[in-house]
Amino acid sequence: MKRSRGFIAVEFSAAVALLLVPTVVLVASLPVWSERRHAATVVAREAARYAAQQWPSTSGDGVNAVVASVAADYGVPADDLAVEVSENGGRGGQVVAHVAVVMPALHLPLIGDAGSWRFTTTYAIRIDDYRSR
Amino acid sequence: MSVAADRRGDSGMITIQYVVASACALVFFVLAANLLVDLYVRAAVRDALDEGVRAAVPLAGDASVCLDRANDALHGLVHGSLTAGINVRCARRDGRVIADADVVLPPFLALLPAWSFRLHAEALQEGP
Repeated sequence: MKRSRGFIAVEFSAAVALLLVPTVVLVASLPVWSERRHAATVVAREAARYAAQQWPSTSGDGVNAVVASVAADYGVPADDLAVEVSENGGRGGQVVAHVAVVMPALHLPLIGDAGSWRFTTTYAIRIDDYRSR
Repeated sequence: MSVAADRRGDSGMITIQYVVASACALVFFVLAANLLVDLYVRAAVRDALDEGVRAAVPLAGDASVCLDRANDALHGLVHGSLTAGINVRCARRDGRVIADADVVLPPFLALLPAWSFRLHAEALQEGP
């Protein structure tokens, strides 16, 4: 019977390592994936809308400001976002925004992120056929 | 030492440790559930703000359209006492529709402080 003394401590440690920690990591990681996916969608949409509204101006400063604003709203570091806005044709053409955002594979609270992959999304908006220059 | 004496020597030892370990594990799960719910509510408020500003993007849209849409979206996603600590505001400024939300989320355990934060969304309004 003496050899069984303290075995709960071992089981508790094993339970924390095998059950609780993975649960917390999943709880912390899954919402980050959803939030970053939504952030990328909104960044693409707002960047494309801004570029279409400013057409035929091709200045990227305004688009960059929009991207920075949305990224700040969602708490996504600017370095984790890659945005490319292209214009396809004139009136009746499309403005297309491609956005790639870094997704942390695992988000460890109070520690940091481990591993990553990129989520990409695209948003296209038509330039009005009768749009004045 | 007899078998009976040996059994008496550690009687109850497992039970106390098991109860303490179980209590710690349950508190841990409650904290994890609290975190999950709070993160869900934060995402729901962000979605509601985004819905609100998008509703007011057309030229005829104004702050009341944004506010109504945001509150509709919010109450479709979050129910109960959690909505009591969420205050949404909308405005139009410099050709943009702006929505802000002040959020205070009560903790599941009374010993913990409430989580309060502010969320923001904005969209370029359509021009003439």
